Amino acid sequence: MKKKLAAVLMSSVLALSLTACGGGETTSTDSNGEQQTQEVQQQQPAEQPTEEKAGNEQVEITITHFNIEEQREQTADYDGFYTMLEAWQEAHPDVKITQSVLATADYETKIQAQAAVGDMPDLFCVKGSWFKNFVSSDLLAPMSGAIEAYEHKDAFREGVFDAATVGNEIYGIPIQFSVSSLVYYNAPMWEEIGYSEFPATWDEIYDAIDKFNEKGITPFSLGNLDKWPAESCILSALGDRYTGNEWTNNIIANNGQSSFTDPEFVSALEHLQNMAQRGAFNADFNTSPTGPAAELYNQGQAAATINGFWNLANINANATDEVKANTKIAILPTVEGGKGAAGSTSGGCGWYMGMAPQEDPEKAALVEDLLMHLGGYEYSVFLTEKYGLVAPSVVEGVDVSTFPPATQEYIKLMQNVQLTPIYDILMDASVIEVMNSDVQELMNGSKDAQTVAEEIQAELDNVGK
Amino acid sequence: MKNRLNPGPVTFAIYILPSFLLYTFVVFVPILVAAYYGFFNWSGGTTKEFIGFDNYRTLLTDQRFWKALSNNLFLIVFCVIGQIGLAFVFAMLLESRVAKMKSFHRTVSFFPSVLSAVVIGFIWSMIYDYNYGLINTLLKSIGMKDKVQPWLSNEKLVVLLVTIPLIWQYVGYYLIIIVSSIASVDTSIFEMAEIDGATGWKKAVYITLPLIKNTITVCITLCIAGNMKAFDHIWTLTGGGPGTASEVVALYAYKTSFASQKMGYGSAVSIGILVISLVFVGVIRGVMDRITKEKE
Repeated sequence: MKKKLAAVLMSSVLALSLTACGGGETTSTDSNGEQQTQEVQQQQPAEQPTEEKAGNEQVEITITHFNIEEQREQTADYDGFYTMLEAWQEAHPDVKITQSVLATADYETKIQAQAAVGDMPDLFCVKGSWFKNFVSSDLLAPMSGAIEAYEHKDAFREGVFDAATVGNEIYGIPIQFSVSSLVYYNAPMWEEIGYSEFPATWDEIYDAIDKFNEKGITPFSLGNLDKWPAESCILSALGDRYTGNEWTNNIIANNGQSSFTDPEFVSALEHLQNMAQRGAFNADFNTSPTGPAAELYNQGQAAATINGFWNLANINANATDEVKANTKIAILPTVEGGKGAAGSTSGGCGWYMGMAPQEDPEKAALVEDLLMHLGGYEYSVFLTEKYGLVAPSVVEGVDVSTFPPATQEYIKLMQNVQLTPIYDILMDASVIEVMNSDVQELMNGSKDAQTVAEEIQAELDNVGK
Repeated sequence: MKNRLNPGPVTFAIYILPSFLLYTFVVFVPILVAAYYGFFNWSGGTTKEFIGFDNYRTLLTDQRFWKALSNNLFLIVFCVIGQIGLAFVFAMLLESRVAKMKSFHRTVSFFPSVLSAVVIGFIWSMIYDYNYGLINTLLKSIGMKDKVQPWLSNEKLVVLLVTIPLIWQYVGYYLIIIVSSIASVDTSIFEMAEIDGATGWKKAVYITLPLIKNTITVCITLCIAGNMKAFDHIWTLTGGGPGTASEVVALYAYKTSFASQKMGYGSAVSIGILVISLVFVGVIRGVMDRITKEKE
């Protein structure tokens, strides 16, 4: 009797847990919501009576992304996303769009977890470095055909599809054009110590660092608590100064022709360590989050900050009027004997939007249309005209005179700047994880450049296996 | 009547079934699934490659994992001393006759336990802050400006510094457990002991401690289990940094799975954590059992 009971119990447990698993997978888009996720449902407009559609099932498109609506006012990309989405919804009132929105860090975790079980929304944001994995796991539908057929395909900037290309096929549409390394500097502060414009050599920069430190001013503000800023905003550009573009592309391709232990890259690491030890940054740069560090510059307590293009919106919104008016933008100087091109900095498309493979061809066409709208030419036009950003597509004939001074500076600078790959967007995620962590220790002085280079290379070798 | 107090096997099974199912679903199934994923080279998604025990073998020689584990050990040792030791001392003070406003102290000391770890992390990051932090301000005001530093960047101190908030948060929790277990001891025992001349620390060590040793064992077990899965405080304070100096195993498992996108290896790390935690708890229970038996 007891055995029988136990057997019945066990099998019912098994059956239940199996169905529970199955249920979890299919509904997790909705049930994963919890606190961080806000499910924003854009219902059909009221004037469209639902009865009309009775029997004809409504098409639902699910989008998971990180464009938080509350930050729409302050963030150009987010505003662009919602503007495009609203326009498309208006043109397609019979489609129900269900969004799941999370802050970027939470988004990355959630979408990775969803990828782990192969349960993707129709549209989702994809980081450049994820494509290889996602494509090999069949999570993304090819987009080359749609791009080829797109009327404004020639407006896309050169290289914007590089990260989204696996084999000969493109799998995503760029939704953000990122420049990760820009030097925002407070021109009068630099003038005061004798530099009428941002120094063109590192000797001068080190001289300036000493002078600022004497005066008790932070030369460059940096918030590296999250470990990526030093790598993405400084090392990506500084590394290229030493190694040149080709080296980086070899590393990205992991073709064995370049190594992190190459003397050029080790020199770049040494350089970064020197900067930290010479007092180039605020003393708590490794424990400060990005926000407070940016604030140091915004409040005029730091003479400069090395940050991405996203900091432009931050300066325009939060800096004191004085800092706003005095901010000029430059790029890092070249290094002696370096292989990198002068007048270049790290940039490119970081985030894409991709589409999950669709079973129903009718719906596939619809989702594809929405995707091309979200990341297409109109989106770039919106970003360029409203915010003066450099967008994934080239938009000409924009009047820049109405933009804030820092934005005008940025537009001016970007006309002559070449872009080199951003490390964390294009290199393998696990290599970047090791690099970020090690660079923090490097700058803290607890690891030397050679060790760091070897450890990163070991991870790269591991990935290649 | 007999039926209510002593239910038959079927009734018994029905009573137990809901919790059993819940436990199976949220604990056993994920563990088995993680153990299974540990056998794959898998970066998420639908394709995974079976690699046998490779992940587990790599784990055995993974320096970063063992370093993280040594940080956990540090955390455990300090928290057992700091949380349970301090809680015991405070409990003795609260039980002594000199203590005033006992229930006030009890309640207030429990407050930090109900705060979210993120809040704790935030409060303490302000204490350690370089520019405006409590410690540095204090150092400046007493003229020790040369000691001022970005505390959490100091890789020699950082593990200790992230342990302090943990101790601070949970002292109250263990205090409540210990106080309640002392309260359950017959007061006449303490009165007798006092008549016999055992007061102060003598009473604490020779009378109270042996009487509540089972509770202490439970506290230590909870403390070990809690510190093996320590994550959120450290995540908010340092993110495991500088570099990996304050990284603990749970943080490493998370980073491996989600930042490095090595889901298979991340699962293997999690299973490693589980096994090691079980071993720790087993060892400590064995040791405590032995101590208990010897005394008897």
